[in-house]
Parts: sequence; C-alpha cells; structure tokens
Amino acid sequence: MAKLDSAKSFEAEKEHAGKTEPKLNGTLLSVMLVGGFIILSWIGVYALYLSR
Amino acid sequence: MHMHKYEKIWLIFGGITLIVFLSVIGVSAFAMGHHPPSDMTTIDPEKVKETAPFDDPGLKKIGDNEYEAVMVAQAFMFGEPLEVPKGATVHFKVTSADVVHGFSIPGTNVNMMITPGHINTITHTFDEAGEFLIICNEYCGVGHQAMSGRIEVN
Repeated sequence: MAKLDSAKSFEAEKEHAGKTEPKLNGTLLSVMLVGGFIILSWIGVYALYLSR
Repeated sequence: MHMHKYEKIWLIFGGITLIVFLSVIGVSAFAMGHHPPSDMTTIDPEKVKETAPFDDPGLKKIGDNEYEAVMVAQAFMFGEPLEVPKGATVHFKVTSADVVHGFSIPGTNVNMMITPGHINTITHTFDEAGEFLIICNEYCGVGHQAMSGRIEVN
C-alpha cells in the first residue's frame, strides 16, 4: 500500500513538473548581459580596425 | 522536445549574432580585400640581396601619391628611413635576410611577421602627418630592442 502511495505521488510530481515551467528570468538576463558584452567588445575591436 | 521560451530566445539571439559576425568578416575578406599580411610569394632567403626587387630596396613611386616600399629586415635594422607625403598609400613589401622579424607601425593596422623565405606585403594609407616608428615585435636576437625604422609623413 505504501509502495502504491509513493508511486502515485511520484506520478503526480512528474505531472506537476511537466506543467509548470522553471523560472529562468535570471538566466535570461545573465545570458543577455554576456551576449551584450561580447557584441560591444566585437564592435569596439572592429571599429578600431576600420578607423586606423 | 520541450524547450523553455527563454531558451529559444537566447539560442536564436546567439545564432543571429554568429551569422552577423561571420557575414561581416566574410564581406570584408572577399568583397573589400582584407586579408592576412602574407601571401604565398617565396624567395630564396640566402639570395635576398641579388633577387629583385630586394637588390634595390627603398621607396618607389608607382602612382598618384602611391608608393611601394621595398624593405629587407635583418638583424637589427629595417633600412633607411622613408619619407612620404601626407595621404600617401604605401605598399610595404618586406622580406627577411636572416631570422623571423616583426614589422609593426604603432597606431596603425600595420603589423605583420617577416618570415625568411617569404615576401610579406601590407598596404597602409598615411592620412596624418607625423613621424611613424617601425618596430620589430618578434624576438630576433640580442639587438632586438634596438631594431626600429622610421617613416616621415609630411
């Protein structure tokens, strides 16, 4: 009986996890910050190359 | 496969960035002619002084405010100072008579390796008057730190 209960709650948990998305707001912000830094550095280096 | 909405956003963002970077480099290489400062032209490094054009190094006028600077880099000099008018386009043609040297003009994009056996070329337009330094930036021996040349733009 106990076994059945745990199996049930596992199923319920699985269902629950599939429906709610993890919160990735911080991840998105971090990725965009790193991306922005890479783009700005790239533009800076390329502008320096073109201007000299 | 399930993917988070944000995950899609940053994958697309990264993909577009990569495409833009590679396109800019591709266009500047194939349409604007930017390329590394060495070509496949070779020379016998032991016969540099007998091989044209290095048998007569120096500055040659080849067009309207356009010059060819033929130079031999060797321990520890670049040759006579050059003098060009402001706005001159100079095609540097440099080879080494001994070891690997560097050829860099600070403040410009001129920066190349001078490898013995190869003729290294780079073009620069001097839009500003002044004195420019050519420095060796590859360690070439005990006199490396004293190896420099001069370009006078007036």
